[in-house]
Amino acid sequence: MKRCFILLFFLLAYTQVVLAQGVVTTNPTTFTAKDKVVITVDVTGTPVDGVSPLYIWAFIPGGGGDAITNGGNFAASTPEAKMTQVGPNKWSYTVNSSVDFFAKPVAAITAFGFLVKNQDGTKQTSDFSLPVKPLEYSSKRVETFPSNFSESDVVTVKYNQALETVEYLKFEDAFATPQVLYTGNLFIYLEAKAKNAAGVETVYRTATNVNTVDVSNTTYKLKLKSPGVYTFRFIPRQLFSSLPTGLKADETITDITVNIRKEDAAQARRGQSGPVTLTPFKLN
Amino acid sequence: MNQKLFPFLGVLALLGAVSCQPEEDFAEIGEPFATAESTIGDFQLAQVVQVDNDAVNNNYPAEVQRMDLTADYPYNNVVFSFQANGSEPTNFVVTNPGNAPVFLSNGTWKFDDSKGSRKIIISQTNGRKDTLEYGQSYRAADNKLGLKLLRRSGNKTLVTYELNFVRK
Repeated sequence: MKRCFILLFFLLAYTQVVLAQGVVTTNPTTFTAKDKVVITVDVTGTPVDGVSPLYIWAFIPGGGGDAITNGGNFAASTPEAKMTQVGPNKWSYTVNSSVDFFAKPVAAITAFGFLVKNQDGTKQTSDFSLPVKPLEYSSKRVETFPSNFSESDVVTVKYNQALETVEYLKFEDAFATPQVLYTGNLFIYLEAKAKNAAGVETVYRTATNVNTVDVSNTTYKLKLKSPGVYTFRFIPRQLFSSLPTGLKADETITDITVNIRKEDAAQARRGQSGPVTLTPFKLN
Repeated sequence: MNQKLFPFLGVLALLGAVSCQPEEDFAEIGEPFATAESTIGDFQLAQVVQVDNDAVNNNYPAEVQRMDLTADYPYNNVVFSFQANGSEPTNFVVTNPGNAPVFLSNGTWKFDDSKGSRKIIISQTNGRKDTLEYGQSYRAADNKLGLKLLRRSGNKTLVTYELNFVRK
C-alpha cells in the first residue's frame, strides 16, 4: 500500500512537471528544415497561463543562432513573433521554412528550439526542443547536375536506368522472360523554348522529333558512366546557338525538354523516356 | 664543479643547439593571401570543380554536391592574366584557345573590399560584371591561386565554379 502511494505521488509529480512545461504538438508530426510546420502549444499550468498575447522566441539549440523574428531583444518581442490563439490557453505559430526562419542552411538546423513568452519577457515557459528530420536525397530517373543551372552553365543530364518505368526503354525486350536490362546505346533529343526581349517565343530542336535523332552521329549519344547510369553533358546556350538556324544573341532560353531513346529506330518508337522538362534559372 | 651537473648542462647545451636551427618556411598565422602581390600576374588553370549549392545546403551526399570538370574540357590551356600598373589593377585577359567553359571574358578588374572578405570584380567588355571570391588559400611561396565564381539568381547562389590556378 505504501509503495502504491509512493508510485502515485511520483506519477502525479511527473504529470505536474509536464503540464508546467506546456504541451507541444506540430503539424506535420515530423518535419525537415524546408517543411512548413504549424507549432501549437497548450500553455496551461505554465507561467504564461492566461496571458495574452503570447510570442515565440526561437533558436537553434547549442548556440546555432536565433530566429530572424526574435529581433534581438528578449524584452521587446516583434510583431512577427506574435502567436495566434486557437483555443483557451492554446497558441499556434506557423513556420514556412526553418531555413528561412533561422536564415541558416539545412545542415545547421539540427533541432528547433523555442519558448513562449509575453511581449516584455517577464513571463515565459521553459525551453522546448523539436527534432528536425534531415533532408533525404533521392535520385530521379532523369536529373541534372547541378540541380539548378543557367543557360550558360555546364549541365550534365544523368539518366538512372534502374528508376526507368518504361519497360520498352529499360529492357532489351519488354516481353522477354526473364527481362534483361538494355545495355545498348542511348541517344538524347533536346528542344528549347526561347524568348526575345519583345516576348516572341521560338522553339529550337536538335532533330525534327525524338524519332529522327541522327544516331550515326555521336553528338547526341549518351555516355555510359557506370552500369545503369548514362550521362550527357552540354552548355544549353552553346548547344542551341550551334544549330543551323540556332538561338539568337538576343534570345533567352526559358525551358528545355529532353527525351532519351534507344539507338534502334524501331525500338525507339516505344523505347523512349518521354519528355522531361528542365528550367534554367535567370543568371544575375 | 660537481659532476652531477654535467648531464644537466649537456641537456641545456642540446636544447640550445636545437633552438638555433632555422625556422621552417611557413607563413605566419593569419598572413593574408588575398593580396595584390598574390593575385597580379598570369595564372594557368589547373582544376575546375562545379558545385551544386542547393545540394551542399541540403547536406546531400558528397557525390551530388561537386563535379570535377577538369578532364572534360581543355582547361590546362586556359590562362587568366590579372594585369596591373604597379599594384593598381588594370586589365583582365583570358587566354582560352580550346574554348573551354570559363564564363569570363576580357575586361578590367579591381578589388572589392566593401563588404566582408575581399573579392575581385571583373568588368567585361561584353557588359557583364562578375565577382570572384577567394577560395582555397595558399602561401605566397606556393605560387598558386584559388578563386570561386558564383552563379547567382536574385540573392541566391545556385552554382559555384572553384577555379584553381598555378602561377605561370
